Amino acid sequence: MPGTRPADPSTTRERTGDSFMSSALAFLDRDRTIASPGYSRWLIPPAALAVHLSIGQVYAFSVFKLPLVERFGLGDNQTPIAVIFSVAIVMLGLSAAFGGPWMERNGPRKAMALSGACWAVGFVVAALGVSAGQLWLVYLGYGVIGGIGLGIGYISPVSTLIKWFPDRPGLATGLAIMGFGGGALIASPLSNALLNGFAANPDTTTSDAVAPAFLTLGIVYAVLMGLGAFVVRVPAEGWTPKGWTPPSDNGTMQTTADVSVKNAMRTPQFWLLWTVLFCNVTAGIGILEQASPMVRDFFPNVTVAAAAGFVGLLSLCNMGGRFIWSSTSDVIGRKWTYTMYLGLGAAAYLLVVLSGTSSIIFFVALTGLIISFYGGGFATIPAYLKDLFGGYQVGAIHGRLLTAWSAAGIAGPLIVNAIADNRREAGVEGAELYTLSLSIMVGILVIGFIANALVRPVDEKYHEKKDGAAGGKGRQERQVRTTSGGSRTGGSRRTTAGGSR
Amino acid sequence: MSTRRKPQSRNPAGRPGGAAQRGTGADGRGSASPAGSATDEESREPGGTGAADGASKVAAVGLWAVVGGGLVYGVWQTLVKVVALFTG
Repeated sequence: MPGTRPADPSTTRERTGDSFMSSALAFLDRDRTIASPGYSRWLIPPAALAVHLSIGQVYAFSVFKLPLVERFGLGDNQTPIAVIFSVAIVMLGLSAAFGGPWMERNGPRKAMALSGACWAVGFVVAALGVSAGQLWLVYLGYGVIGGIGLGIGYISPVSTLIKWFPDRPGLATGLAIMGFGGGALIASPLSNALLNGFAANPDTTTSDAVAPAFLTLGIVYAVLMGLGAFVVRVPAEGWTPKGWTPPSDNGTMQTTADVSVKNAMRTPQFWLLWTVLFCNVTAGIGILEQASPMVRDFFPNVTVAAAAGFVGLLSLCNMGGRFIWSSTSDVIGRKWTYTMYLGLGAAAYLLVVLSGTSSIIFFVALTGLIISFYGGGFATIPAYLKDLFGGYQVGAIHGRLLTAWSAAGIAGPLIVNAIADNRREAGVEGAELYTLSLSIMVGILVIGFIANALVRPVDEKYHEKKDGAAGGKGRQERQVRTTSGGSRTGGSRRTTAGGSR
Repeated sequence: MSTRRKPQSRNPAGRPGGAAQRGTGADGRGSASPAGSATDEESREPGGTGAADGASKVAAVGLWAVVGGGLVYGVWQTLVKVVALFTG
């Protein structure tokens, strides 16, 4: 045809490339994740578990501590390496808090994909840092980039699971968050095997094996989290489990309304639950942080290997508690479950203080129970939030609440370590080293117990306003003016009152 | 690079967790409509019908095996350590 020029091959390639990228990005869109009719909801938990098992590796980071100290020639100074973990946990809290609304807008697949990309790239950058002897690259990689992956990954499956399991939200979130506890159980022996495997050559040391081990873990987690993102689906409009009767005004504390993340943070309920989580986590960390030396101080004849076994047992209790207690909360109600965590937890702590040295079995049973409550507290909180604020932006609200975890991560070890060091300097030995800090933990749990007791249904003024007009705005967020006492327009939605189930 | 934008009609208020994404009905009370009763056919279509949906189901079953196997491995390795608590 006159005037027609042949297509420029490079332009065609660019267009093909653009098209591929567009398709790839479109695949991550929320709309592409809507399940077709008949899609089994039991195909969703493995996607959540894949993400949580992967990011749970962070609790096994200590495996790399000594090889990294050796690699960077730090001698006895382990603090620069410990900072890597701290940076990652701080980034977890920040990205969960601020990434929640983005995650809610973009859906679970995009969030899981971003989380997987950050987590895997974090390992690769950290491996580069180890190879090049640049510690700042390890901070940037594992700490900052990986930490963002941790936060987004932690909250990404929660709201999706709650939508699929409105009848059993505790079981669903317990299953996923159990994965975070289980991740360390897998990563710890796996990392040791990788380090030993890559250091098998006589010319290499364990410190030389860190970089290839990081790269291998990055690849493994990229594949696992990618599969999770591929598999995840959200239910179609109007989907409910077969035979499920939605909650009604039956005296439970399960709301049928929805509250946005902005309004949720203006409610006293949010801050009461923040306090509950903070107290529960602080108390749990108090034992987890000192588990190995504590058991040897309580029982001097316990060997190092036996102490390691005690730490392993606590890890199992932590993981099991997440699933068992969170599932139990579907039956007895969230408020009663936290009453148990905080009330029985305080009693168990008190028994450890009063008669912990009487029997090692008694001591192990009590601490195991406390740690199971610690894990259960993490796993049950999303369902509690769903009960109070509805499923609308529960993932984002959960992200904001996790700042309590970050705060407890600082407070718990600080209390236990500072007091134990102080007592040691004063010449105190054995179980007496922990008497004061454990007593403080009892007090912290009592504060949490009171905060939980004060939780009531959320005031209607915080509820999302909806109009039923088809094609109209399905939902309008109401900005509650707390200074002026709040707007009470609308408010057709109801929260069932009458305390906990 | 252009990214395909989804029409806002799928989530009219342009807000996350719109009715199309929520496990409960439009009134937020979990209307007892049958499974998969999406009314917007287009919104359901891309979610994965046909081969993509089948692949997703196969991948999910495989993923169950992987995560289950991983958990069993992790628990077993930990139990080996725990034994030392009672024998050491």
